[in-house]
Amino acid sequence: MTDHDGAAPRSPDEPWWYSGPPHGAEPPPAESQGSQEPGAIDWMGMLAGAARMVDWARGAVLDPHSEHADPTEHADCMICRTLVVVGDQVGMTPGADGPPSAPPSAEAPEPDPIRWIPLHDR
Amino acid sequence: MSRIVIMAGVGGAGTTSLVDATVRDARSTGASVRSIDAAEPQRSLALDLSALVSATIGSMAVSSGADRLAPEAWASLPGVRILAVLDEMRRACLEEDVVVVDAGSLVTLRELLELPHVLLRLLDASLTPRSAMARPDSGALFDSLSEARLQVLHLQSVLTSDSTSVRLVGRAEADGIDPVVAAAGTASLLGLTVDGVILARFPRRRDGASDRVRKQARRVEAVLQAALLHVPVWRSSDRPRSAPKGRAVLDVLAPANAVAPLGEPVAAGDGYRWDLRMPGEVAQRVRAGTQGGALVLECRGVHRWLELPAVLKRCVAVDGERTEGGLSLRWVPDADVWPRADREERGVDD
Repeated sequence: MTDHDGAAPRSPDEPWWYSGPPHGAEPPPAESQGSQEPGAIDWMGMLAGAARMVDWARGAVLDPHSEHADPTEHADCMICRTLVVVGDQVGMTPGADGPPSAPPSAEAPEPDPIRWIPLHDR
Repeated sequence: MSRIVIMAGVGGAGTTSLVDATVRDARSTGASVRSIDAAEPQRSLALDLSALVSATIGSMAVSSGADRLAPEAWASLPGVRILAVLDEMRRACLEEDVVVVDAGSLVTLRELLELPHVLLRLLDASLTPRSAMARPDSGALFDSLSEARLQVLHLQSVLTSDSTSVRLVGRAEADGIDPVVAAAGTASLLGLTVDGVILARFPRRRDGASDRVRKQARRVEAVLQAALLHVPVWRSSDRPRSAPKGRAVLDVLAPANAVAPLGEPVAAGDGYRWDLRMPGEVAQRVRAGTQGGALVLECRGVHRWLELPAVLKRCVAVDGERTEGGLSLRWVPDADVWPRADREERGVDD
């Protein structure tokens, strides 16, 4: 996992979403916590965590997906897999160049063959 | 609903003279009568239909990348002319008591009767969720197709009304039998009642016809009458006769003989029986099958699709019998969609 905020490298033991001080670091001085009351929500910490999630998603999912032209060829990509599943549900595959296009005739289901009934004379 | 008589005949039989006689005799009853010539439908109506075709087939072509064409470009398609005849019939029914259609040849008659069925199959196949969602601008096309389907259904209801019938004009010659019998079968299969066959220019002694020719003509008349049971076959001569002796020209001259289900399926044995009415000649030649939720009937290359009753959509057709009055089809529950029947058959308790 890449750390994008320029902070010190993190320990491999720390989860990617952890926004607290690095393991083994000195606790921050009391004034750095401002006037926050004990037990209050740490808004700044949550924002920093959210920013890390977005960065992670961009780096791990969106950037690789931007190079995928045909979703059916990238089963290991979460977005491609979702697009294929959703496309199958609605009966069409989204095109790579914008709005969904008409399905080629080969994708329309073949008509059932006629099952002829044996007829006898009374 | 107005009385509609559709007339058609073998080449050279004198169909137009008999159409004129039918119109004249109908007017003599005091009814208002419109005569329609299938060879010359009103051009203005044909143009309206061109706009409809342009909005449906044309739009489908455009959505596949084709260039757009002006509505007039579609007017000369053969199907559009037939559609114009059907639409002229529909409009005439709103204004007149009687409508007499001169379909001309038996080929044109078949096109006239078959076109609504074909269009409905095509439109039903086009009106799918896939086509509705395939393009962002497909809403207008979908609406046009839905509107076209309603209009075709209306045309078909005019054709298959109880007050619509087909009268065929034949010649009292050996090679004139099969075309008339085939046309009668096609009309019945497509849901119309055939209520008369007129043997035009029937040879008479007073016209100098030989005994051999008159004998052959009587034999043709007998064969036709036997093939088309309950349908009156009558002779016409230099003086065209629009109806058999003792009958009024506007009567429906024969009992209903259009192919149609005889009510709902009935329980029989371990399944169901479903009877269909059809003339003997059709019953002898017809093939029956199932496709999706429909019963398919085929006779002489003409197909008709009948929606299956709900219960039979969950059954499998086993076999059928050709009866005096038509077909009797036998069905058993489909174990794949009727698991209870399957379990009971195998003796498995719930």
